[in-house]
Amino acid sequence: MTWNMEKFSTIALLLLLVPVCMAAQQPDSLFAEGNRFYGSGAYQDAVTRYEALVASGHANASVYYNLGNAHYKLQDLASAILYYEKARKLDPADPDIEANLNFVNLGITDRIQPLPEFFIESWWRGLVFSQTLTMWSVLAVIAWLLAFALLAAYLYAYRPRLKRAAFYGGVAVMVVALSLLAVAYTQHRIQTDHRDAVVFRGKVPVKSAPAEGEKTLFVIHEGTKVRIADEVNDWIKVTLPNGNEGWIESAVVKVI
Amino acid sequence: MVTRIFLFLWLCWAGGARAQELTVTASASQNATAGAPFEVRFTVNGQAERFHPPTFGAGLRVVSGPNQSTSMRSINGQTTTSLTIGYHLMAEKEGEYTIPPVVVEAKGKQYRSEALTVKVQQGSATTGGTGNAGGGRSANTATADAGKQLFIRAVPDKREVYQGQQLVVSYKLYTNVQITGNMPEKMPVLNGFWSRNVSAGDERTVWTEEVVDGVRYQTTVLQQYILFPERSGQLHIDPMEMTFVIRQPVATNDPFERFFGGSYREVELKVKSPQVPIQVKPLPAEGRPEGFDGAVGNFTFSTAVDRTELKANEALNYTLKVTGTGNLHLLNAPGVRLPETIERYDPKVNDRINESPGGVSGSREFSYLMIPRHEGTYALPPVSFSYFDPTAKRYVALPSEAYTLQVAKGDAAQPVAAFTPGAQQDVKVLDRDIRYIKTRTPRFDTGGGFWGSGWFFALLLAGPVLFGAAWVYRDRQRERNRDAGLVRNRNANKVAAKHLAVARRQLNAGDSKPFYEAVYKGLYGYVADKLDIPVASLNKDFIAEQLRERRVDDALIARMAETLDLCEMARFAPLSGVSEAEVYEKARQLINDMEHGKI
Repeated sequence: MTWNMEKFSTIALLLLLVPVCMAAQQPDSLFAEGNRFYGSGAYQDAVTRYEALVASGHANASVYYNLGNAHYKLQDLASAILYYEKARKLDPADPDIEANLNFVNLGITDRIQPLPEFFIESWWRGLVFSQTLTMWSVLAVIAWLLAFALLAAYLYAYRPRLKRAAFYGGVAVMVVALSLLAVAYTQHRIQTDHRDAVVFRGKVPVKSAPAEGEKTLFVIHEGTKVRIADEVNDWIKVTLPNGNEGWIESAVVKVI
Repeated sequence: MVTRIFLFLWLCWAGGARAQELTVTASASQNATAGAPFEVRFTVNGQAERFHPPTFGAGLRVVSGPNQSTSMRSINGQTTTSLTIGYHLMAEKEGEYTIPPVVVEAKGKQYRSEALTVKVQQGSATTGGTGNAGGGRSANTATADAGKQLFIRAVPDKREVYQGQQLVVSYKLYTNVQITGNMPEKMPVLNGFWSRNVSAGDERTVWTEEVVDGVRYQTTVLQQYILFPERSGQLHIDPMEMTFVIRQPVATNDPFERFFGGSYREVELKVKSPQVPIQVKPLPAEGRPEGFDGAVGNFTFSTAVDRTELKANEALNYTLKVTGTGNLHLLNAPGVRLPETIERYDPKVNDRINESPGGVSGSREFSYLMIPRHEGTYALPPVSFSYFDPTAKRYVALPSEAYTLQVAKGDAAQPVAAFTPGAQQDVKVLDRDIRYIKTRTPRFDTGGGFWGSGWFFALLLAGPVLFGAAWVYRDRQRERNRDAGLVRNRNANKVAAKHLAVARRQLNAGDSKPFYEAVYKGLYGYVADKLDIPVASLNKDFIAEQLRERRVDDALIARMAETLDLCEMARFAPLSGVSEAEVYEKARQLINDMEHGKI
């Protein structure tokens, strides 16, 4: 009975450790090289190193963050915002990314007042994005396995008190595991459903319909983040945090 | 004035011949120009009773009038009266204007003048008076040649300068006529320049002679400015406008008048200086030193510290002095970088600037009051002042001396500032910037995240699967255990009977020790088998507890305990009062009862 439990948890631990051990050697040196260039002020060289990392599939919150910094130093605010947003998507809880994004956003032309939202909504989003998706899913799986381990212990417990404790504990941990899964799933859905983009042209007229001749509703400027709501041919429908929406050409934005 | 009387007299005389008949004539002055007033006169010869003033057509404006004058004369006892009503009119545009007739009533009859046509020519900007609104004195419009006799010129000392380079512009008056009065109309605005007015030392105007285009003129400087161009490109020195009253001689044939110096008239003359273009070159970007702040001219730079050895909390003065010619007024304090622990106050600016027709020169002094708050050795790094030299066309950077301050510990009597209440300061945020890059090498895993991966789903699945397996395994084991327990239960009686049989044999043989041991084993084995408990974990209390849990009769439990006690005691010491046969019987009876007691 006790042996069974031990075996169970050992397997679970081993299974968790396996993906963590997979790491490559080559990108480390590229990253360090980029950092060295950045440190010496050769921001363009740093950018090429970091971009090589991204191109080779080693995209990473840190790489995107450093790319954003390098682009900021090269005074390319739109690119800086794009990469900071990419970094934040991968690591929504990182305070550095948040700080730099906020700082750089002060430098762009458009100031957009977001619509007020219900406090529970913002609280929930704050919770969902307080950890990375990987962190949430790891926690959820651990809780899930722990819940079943406790329920199994309930099956084998001999003394009635122990048996009762194992049962209620198992049910409670199961509830926790399901909540964690819900949080992770929410973050996953938000990230896959919401496609955001950054404007890369100095001045972009936002039209009322996907055609050049339509009325211009308002004008947005370089560096502004928009949400892609729809797509027709070469045009995308964008929404702003303040609720405005309209159509712009898809060529003027880069998708985060 | 003189001409007017003359004309008037002439008119009176002309009309005097037919004195009895009332006549109305209209006349206008010649050479009417647009924008300048001209005179229209209605002369009535005879006793007029009522005068209906004319209504002038559109485009004509009454500047003054009606101005009325009457005259009376008597020739050979016949008196003639004449009345002149004059208007000063002004036409806004050139062209022909019709002055409508006027109606005069006398003795119940109406007399009207002829309509008059006035030809108005295009006016010139330089000549023309504003009319004599006062009405007391009539000033005639200036003739065109007056512009050659009196003019203003703006004379810059340079036509091509660098941005920030000073130039002196003088507004000079050239005249060879007599001026009786002047009035400034419009002073130059001088857009694009930072300007200083050079005030003359004495109030008297100094006249000099100058020859322009072969004509001798008296000249004087009206106004002088020192200008600093604020931007590059083509700038203009604005015109200056002034109105002068000059005396013009009038040609006359009257010998008396000639004898008394001739007649003259006073003419108002509006004079405007021409615009002067100034080419302003931008300062070259090449070779611009760090910290260049727009100083243009020729400067020297010196610094001084009033003391280098002092105690903490004592003050010292750090003085930076720029001397020379150039845009001293526009100089900012050179950037002084001080150690953070030295308190520094905003610099006091002390100017000794001289503005003369030669330009701006002098010195500007920036004096910093500094108080080191802590002891130690502080380095005052050298300050660099740089300027652009427009004559050499290059930038000049003047470094200053570096100083080292030796600050001793402050006086004990003077409490350390840091401990006085309120001396603490908030940490000031001087600037904001992005945070530095991530330097720690991250883990580069090429695969996607854990979420949605194979491992993720495998582990999620592993939970219920392993749980199910555990459930099945437990059930099976329980099944098997229950079977074993049943067998033991069923065989308990037999095993016990076997033990009791051994005991019986020992009893017959008279061996008391093996007898008790057999009884003991028989009883214990029986209970253990019945309750399905390993023999090793048995003891009296546990047996009693288990039996109670299975709701066995208390009396039976007590008997069991008693019998087991007896056996246990008899194994180690001979019993008294109880025979072995009795014990045997008790044990047998007990097993029998329990067999029927359904446990």
